[in-house]
Amino acid sequence: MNMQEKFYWLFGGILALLVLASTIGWVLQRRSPGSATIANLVARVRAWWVMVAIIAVNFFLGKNATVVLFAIASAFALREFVTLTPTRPADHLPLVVCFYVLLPVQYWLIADGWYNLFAIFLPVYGFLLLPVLAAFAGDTEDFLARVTKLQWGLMITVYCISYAPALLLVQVKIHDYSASGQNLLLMIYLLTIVQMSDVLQYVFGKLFGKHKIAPVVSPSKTVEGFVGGGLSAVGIGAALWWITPFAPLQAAGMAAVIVIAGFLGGIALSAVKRSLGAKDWGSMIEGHGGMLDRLDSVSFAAPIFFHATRYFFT
Amino acid sequence: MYLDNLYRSMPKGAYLPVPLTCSVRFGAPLQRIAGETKESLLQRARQAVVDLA
Repeated sequence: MNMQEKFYWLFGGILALLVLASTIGWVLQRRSPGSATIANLVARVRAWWVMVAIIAVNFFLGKNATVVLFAIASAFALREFVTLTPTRPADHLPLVVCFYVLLPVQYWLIADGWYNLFAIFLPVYGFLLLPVLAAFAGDTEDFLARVTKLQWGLMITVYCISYAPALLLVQVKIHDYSASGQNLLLMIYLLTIVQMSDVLQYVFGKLFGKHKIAPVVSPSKTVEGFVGGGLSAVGIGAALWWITPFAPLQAAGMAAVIVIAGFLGGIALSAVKRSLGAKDWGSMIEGHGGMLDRLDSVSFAAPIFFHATRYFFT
Repeated sequence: MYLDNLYRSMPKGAYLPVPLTCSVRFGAPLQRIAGETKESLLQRARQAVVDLA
């Protein structure tokens, strides 16, 4: 199969899933109209149609469009993060630099294929530059806490999320995978597993959930949801081995890495969100909350999947 | 009318706005009270904005 055929098979499967989900939502809504949970489910499925359509269109537009798409997603996520984080007027210049300099440069480095600088740009140069800019503004009130929050937001919403499009830079030699330009499928593999894992954990949790994993931080996450949803997502990951450079068992292992990292990311970012006094990061994706509510698992899974792939398969 | 978060998006003296989520809240229109003094009207209008914050 060439890349186009793989893409059609994969998106055919995803479309079938969406049709199934919409049908289930429609039936449930007819059976018990007025239920808030079901209304939310229907809204979520509707938002999924839009997100899948965006990724599908983007597939045909290619590498630069992917980089721009994720740059926009990062900008929205950073915006949600900073909106919820208390800042002072003295943070204005560092914030301007984050949005208008550091974020575009990070994504330009990916488009340019400059891996060595991409990997250290924000952890080294961003990390050292931001406190300097904040210091020159001359406000020392809560200084350490303020620069820490800004750096943390930048690392999660820009650095970590940029690892998803950075998968296009990995040179996998197995079966001429990268040489035949299939890395875009590897990125779609990552997104599919992360999001299927989130959805299946939600479904298994709603159906069988009894024991809460982190009752204070994330009351909707249960042991049953994590195990059932996680194992199903690993199964899907193994079954999708043909769009990756991995053998089926390797694909299962990589999917397990993605599922676990994504789960832990959801917990950690949920704790951050709650410490900022919010239930959702924003409200731009109907039924889901904000951009960062959809990308929280991606931000943890993408860097780990990237480096695991780069270490074991190149 | 109260503009929430604008002071963070673009504090005094700033040249570039930071793209934060800002919101505009509209209050009920103030009714005229016959024979009200200027000071009392200003006080009432100020309080109406403060209540929206």
